[in-house]
Amino acid sequence: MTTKNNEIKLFDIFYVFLKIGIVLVGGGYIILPLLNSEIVEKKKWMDYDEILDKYCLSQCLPGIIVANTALFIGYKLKGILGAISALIGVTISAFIIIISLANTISLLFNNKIVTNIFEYVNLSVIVLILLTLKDMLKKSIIDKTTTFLFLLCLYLIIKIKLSPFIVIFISIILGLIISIIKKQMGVNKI
Amino acid sequence: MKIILLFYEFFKIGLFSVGGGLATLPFLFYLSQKYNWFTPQELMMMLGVSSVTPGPIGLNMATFTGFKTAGFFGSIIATTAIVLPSLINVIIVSKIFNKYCDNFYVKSILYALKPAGCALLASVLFDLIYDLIFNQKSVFFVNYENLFICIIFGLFAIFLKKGPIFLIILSIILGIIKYILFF
Repeated sequence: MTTKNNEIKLFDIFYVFLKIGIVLVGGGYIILPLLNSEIVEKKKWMDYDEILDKYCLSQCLPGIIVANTALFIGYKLKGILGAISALIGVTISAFIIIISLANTISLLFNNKIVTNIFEYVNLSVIVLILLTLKDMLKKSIIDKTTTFLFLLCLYLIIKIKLSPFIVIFISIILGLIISIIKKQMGVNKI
Repeated sequence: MKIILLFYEFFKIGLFSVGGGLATLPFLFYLSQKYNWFTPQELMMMLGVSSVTPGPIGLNMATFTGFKTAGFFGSIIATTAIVLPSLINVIIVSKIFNKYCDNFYVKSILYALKPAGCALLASVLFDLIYDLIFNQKSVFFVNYENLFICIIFGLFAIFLKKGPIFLIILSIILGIIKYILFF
């Protein structure tokens, strides 16, 4: 079903991520639906489940999520060079735009028009995150343990306002403990 | 010297900001206070600009700061610095997961990481809904205009199967129309 990795050229990876990078407005949260339409549906390089996995992992690693996701997929497709091609592709349009606007940015974007567009773009980002989250939850919340971990993490981030770093750490430790107990009791395999 | 400092500060952000996107904001605020590279006002403006132009805020801020303080070369250094930790992390993590994907502990970590990743994204969603639909007040202060537009976008996405690009362009056009009509 998916294309063999050695048939993919570095330039193709760069080009696909360049296309994604150009339309990646709204702070990068819309990358999952874009990856789905470009890499899964058009190019058939990977399946959606694998991309979801990489995206989940990218959320938890330090750094910019868009960069992490591009690197993971590029690396999977064509090793380190693939990762670098994907990274350059996804970041270069933002880079060029910011550089060419840097000196005039405060003049061009007078605050009122930016706040108006900002508000409406974020409204569509709400819808897109909702759809992304629906897919992620379907893949990640598969039993009582994962439901518990999800709700606990959400509570710790929103109510207790712990930093994401600590929340992820707690989730890993709890997940490991629960998995080990399950294994000892011989309940079921993950 | 400035170049080294730029590299060091943005490398630190790339290395320690977990949760992406807005997680870089506190670090950037700290930078605006520690150095005179940019003002907090410029940071807030860039937050708005980043939602209309490609690229997340952390990346755009690195490019912007680098360019303002040390020109084109500075912007390349700062942008490279913020993504370099990601490159290293992703290669190490990919190698470990490829090699030990059947290992019990690696599987357990992945199993626990996914709900945490979902929770991080869900918290971003709740923040946005709280800001835009409930006007940062309480559940009784609903911004019906924004709620209505949000539902319209949702209908476009779910029933007409419109992709993210369509939605974003539509919302930019609506934002410009609102600006022209009301200001």
